Amino acid sequence: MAHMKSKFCSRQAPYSTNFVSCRETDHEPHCIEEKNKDMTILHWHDLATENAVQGWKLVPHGFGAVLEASTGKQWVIVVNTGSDASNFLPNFESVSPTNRAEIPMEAIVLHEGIKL
Amino acid sequence: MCSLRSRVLRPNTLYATVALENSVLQGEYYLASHTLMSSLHGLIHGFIMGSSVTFEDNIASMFFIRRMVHYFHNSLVSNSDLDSSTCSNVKKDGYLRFILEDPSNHLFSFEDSGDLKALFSLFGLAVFMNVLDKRTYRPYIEAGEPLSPDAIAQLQEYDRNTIPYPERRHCAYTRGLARELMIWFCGTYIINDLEDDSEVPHNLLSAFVVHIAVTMVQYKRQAAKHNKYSCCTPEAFEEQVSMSLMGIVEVDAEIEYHYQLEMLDDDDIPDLAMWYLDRVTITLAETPTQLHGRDEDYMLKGTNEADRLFFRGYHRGFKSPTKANARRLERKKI
Repeated sequence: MAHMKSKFCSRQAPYSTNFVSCRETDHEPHCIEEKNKDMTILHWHDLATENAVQGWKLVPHGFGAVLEASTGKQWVIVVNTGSDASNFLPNFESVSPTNRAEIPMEAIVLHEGIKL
Repeated sequence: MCSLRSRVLRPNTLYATVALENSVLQGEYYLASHTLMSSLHGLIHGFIMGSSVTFEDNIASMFFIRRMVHYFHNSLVSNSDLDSSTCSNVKKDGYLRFILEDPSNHLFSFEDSGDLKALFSLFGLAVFMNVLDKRTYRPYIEAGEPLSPDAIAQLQEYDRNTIPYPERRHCAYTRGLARELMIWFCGTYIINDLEDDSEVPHNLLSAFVVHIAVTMVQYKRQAAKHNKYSCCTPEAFEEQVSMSLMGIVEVDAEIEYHYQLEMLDDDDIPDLAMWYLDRVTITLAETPTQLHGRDEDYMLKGTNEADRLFFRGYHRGFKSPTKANARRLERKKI
């Protein structure tokens, strides 16, 4: 599985306060200095071959994430981490399928061409 | 299990993927105002546990946090026109375009404690903005140069790190805005206990910040105990947390922080949640506060101890105090 940067810019979505706040504060003190900030940094692509597995990963830096299947089909298994550090300590097995067995999991198939 | 094309994951979510066939997954990160508490927790988990639980990329989420503080300050404090009948803020002159969309998407109505948690978390993110940034712990060196003892000394004496000067100023300015946002909230709303309807004193915010500070330090110590070091030592982290509170929270809160730190049981694995925030209701005050802060004040009010060291060093050209003393002594001899 390869994780690569995308050239798409942020787009407006009902949940993305980051988009609205960046658009509305461009003229504020100190924000002008950041005007040419690269806004493509929030986008990425994951390329996977059949049967490739990515172990448990936390969505980084406090962000939420939107995942969309451009082509092919992938299982996405999701767990809400909560505030408890005991989720990660004393140890955390990122590749163990049973690692998070005690917490309710949700599994979804992301499939190209299907929309809800 | 269901099947669909896209999926929105809340902040602070763990996920794993299995490719059923050759595929391309397109992803985008976002920050939403109503899930800022999850963002705060996710940021702390990711920072302390590092690459063992999350991706190690160089996205500075703090850029977006700074802009969100500006946005909320603009919407709620600077341009506020309080409509008490709906208990929400609506700006009527059409200056900001979000009104033409759906303001309820992003702004807080404070109808439940969820918005209070989000606002407190935004303040927490502003206070600990530098603490939770990896660049804070890296000594400043020119591109291509090796790490020198001078760079390490400058980090210790002036907190000179890889966060550039303009960004450093912006961080201080943002903290000033965040402080005024909280002053506005405390003057505009009353927090009551859900059970007996008694008014909760306004030090709830300080208690929240101190709680996050103490649990972060405890979390970091525990992680180090289990050999999870990420980007800094527990001692460096603790020092940064301590400096981030000085000058930002009230003196009482600082004393409380040091007291709670001394009472910590180092074997406990901490929980970042503050359960008390679930037990409150929020009502509009009879005479809401109107604030009109001045730009120059924000920088001053948002400068914490680490910033003070840095700006002092900046004005001295980051000359090592020990070297400066040595030069003065030499001059005297001549």
